[in-house]
Amino acid sequence: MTAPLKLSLRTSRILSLLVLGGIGVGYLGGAIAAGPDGTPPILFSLLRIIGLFSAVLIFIEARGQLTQSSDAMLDERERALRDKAYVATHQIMVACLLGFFLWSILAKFIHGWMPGQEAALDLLSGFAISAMALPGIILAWQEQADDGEGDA
Amino acid sequence: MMMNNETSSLHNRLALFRAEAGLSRKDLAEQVGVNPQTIGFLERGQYGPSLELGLKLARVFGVPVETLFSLEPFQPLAQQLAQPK
Repeated sequence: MTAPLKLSLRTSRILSLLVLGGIGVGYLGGAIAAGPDGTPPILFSLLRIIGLFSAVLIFIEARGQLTQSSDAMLDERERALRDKAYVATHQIMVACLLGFFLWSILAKFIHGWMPGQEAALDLLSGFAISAMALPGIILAWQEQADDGEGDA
Repeated sequence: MMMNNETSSLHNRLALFRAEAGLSRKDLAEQVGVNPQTIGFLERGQYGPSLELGLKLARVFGVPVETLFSLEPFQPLAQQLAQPK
C-alpha cells in the first residue's frame, strides 16, 4: 500500500481555510446571489471549485486518511485524536443544521431569504463536501508541532 | 491511574530511560506497538498514556511503572546525584 500524501502542517491549515472559505462563501453566497435560472455568478463558481479541490486534497492527505483509518491501523493517541475530530465534526454539523432550521422559522416572519429547490441542492452539496473534509481540517488545527526529532 | 488525553498532568522520565537504554523513538515505539510520534508526545508530556501503554513502557525498561510516570514532578537528576546517600 502506498503511503498517503503528507503535507506540512502549514499547508494543511491553508488548505483548510480554502475549503471553509471556498465552500462557505461559494455555496452560500452563490445560492443567495444566484440568477433567476439558479446559476451562481462566475466568482462564486470559482470559489466552489477552489473549495472542492482543497477538500479533496485534505481528504486524501495523511490527516484526512487518519480519520478514515480503522482502529487496528492506529495507536491509542491517534484513535483519541480521530474520535475527537469526529465528535467536533458532529457538533459543527448539528449546529449548522440547527442554525438553518432556526433561520427557516425566522425567515417566514421577516420575509428573509430562503433557498429555492436548485439552491437547496447546491447548499446540500456544499454541506456534504464540508462534512467530508471537516475531520481532517479539525486534525490540522488540533495538531501540535513536532519537536523535530521525528522518528530518530 | 493515567489520563488518556492530550493535556496530561502526568510527569515522566521516558526520555531519560530511553537515552540510557540507547533506544531510538522508533525502536521503543516498535516494542510497545505505537507510532514513533506518539513516543515524542509522551516524552514532552503532551499525551497521557493508557494504563496498558504505561505498563508496556515500564516493562521495556524493566522498572515499576511509578519509576517512569508520576503525578508529581520528578526531582532533577543533578539534584538526586548531589544528595548524600
